[in-house]
Amino acid sequence: MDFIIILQNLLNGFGNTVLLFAITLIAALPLGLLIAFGSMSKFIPIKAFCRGLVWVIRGTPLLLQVLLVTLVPFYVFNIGNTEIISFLGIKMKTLLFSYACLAFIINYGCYFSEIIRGAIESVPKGQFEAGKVLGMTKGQIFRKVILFQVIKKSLAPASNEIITLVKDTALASIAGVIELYTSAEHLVNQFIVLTPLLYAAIFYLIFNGVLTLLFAYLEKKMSFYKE
Amino acid sequence: MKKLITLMLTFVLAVTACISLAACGNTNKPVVVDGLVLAEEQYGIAAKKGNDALVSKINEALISIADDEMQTIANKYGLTSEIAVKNDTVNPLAAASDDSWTNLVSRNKVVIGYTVFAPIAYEVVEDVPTKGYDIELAKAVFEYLNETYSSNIVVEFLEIDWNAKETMLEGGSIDLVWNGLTITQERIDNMCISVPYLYNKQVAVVLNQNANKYKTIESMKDAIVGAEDGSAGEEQIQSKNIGKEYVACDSQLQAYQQLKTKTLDVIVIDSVMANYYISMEK
Repeated sequence: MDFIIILQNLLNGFGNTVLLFAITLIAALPLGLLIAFGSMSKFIPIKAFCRGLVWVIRGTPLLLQVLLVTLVPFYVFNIGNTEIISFLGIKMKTLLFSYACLAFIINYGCYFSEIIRGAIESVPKGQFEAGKVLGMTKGQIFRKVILFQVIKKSLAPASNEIITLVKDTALASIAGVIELYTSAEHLVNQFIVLTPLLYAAIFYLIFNGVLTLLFAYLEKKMSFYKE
Repeated sequence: MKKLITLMLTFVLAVTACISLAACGNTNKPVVVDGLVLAEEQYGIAAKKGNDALVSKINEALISIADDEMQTIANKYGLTSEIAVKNDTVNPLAAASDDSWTNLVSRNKVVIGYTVFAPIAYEVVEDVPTKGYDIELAKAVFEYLNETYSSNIVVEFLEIDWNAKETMLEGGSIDLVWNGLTITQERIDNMCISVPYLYNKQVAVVLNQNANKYKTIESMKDAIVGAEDGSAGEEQIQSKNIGKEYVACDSQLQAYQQLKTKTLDVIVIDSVMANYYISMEK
């Protein structure tokens, strides 16, 4: 068993894992904010749509969602993915990876939206009123008074979700994405030993360790304002 | 609250209706690419080394029912083109004279080891597989033997761990392994193997509408190809450099679904699976 080969393969898979993780995180947070606003909207259709979306996405397995996203073009629009890639001039792997990203973004966007909604609703109403009295616009109140508190309040619960996201990337394999876990499985099949899975676990552990430290640092940074 | 529940139910119903309608609309049947065999395997039935007389009787039965019952069973699972026995196949063990067959007759029971996978052996009801090509073939063979030799052998199926099949045979827990067992030199050395009864080829499957486009490996050079992760089909794709891009799938069935939903242009899977899947299409 060649340690270098195993490390190289795992690093390749790890690259995909990190990419999927980063794209999901960057896109899901703003989407979460948007859905949170929608869920709190006074306009009933938007509110119903957002609440319904959150219900469906949180109520079904992510694995199924990833698979369904890859099938949507065919079953809904009757366009094969092969036609899409020849039209866009990209590789099938890229397209499937994008589908996986899309499913992850929507899924995590919904989870984040609930965290953000909770944080926004926990800001005392008096602060909105005080802003109004001072003659601030709604946008100003949100940006200058509420937003920072929301970030601070959602940091701890969001870190939970973000760490789960690292491990959930393994589900992207259903769409043909070779991420860390799948590449470890390949090595298990190649060498007929289970150690690659253990190495993969160490990769996940280190990655999450770095994230944990990062969140601890951020929380410390934000703790100057005590309620 | 009532309103909310009504809304939820309406939504679920609407989605279910949409999905089922969409799923019905597309019936483009996949087909096996004619005359393109990438690799060929043969299935055989294995007994303990030295039980030549028993295997000889099974060979004899297989050859005798090759033209009638075997065809009927194969037809049921879409495997007619895969039959490897003919009525003029020679039984290589015809002269065997050990006591394995007479022992079986006096015991009145044969235990067959199997693992569950469609279309070979599946739909296990209360520990008994009720469907599958190998299951029905085994029953037909022993029915023939009981009739011909006026014996009274009862067939019993026992689910085994595939990796333990040789030890199970050695230890006498099972008399036969009859479960899509690929004939290899190593197995011939270690077990007594029957005449090949079924071919399993690595074949390319494409959509009917593309059947004229993809006829040779050369014509597939712009295709997106798929196979089960780590399978013999994947090996063929990589060694023969088929297609423009390779996508690994979780299972042969998933590869087949990806073909049907036009994510893949060509898949390379077992012919037994391919023919079974295609026979299940409306």
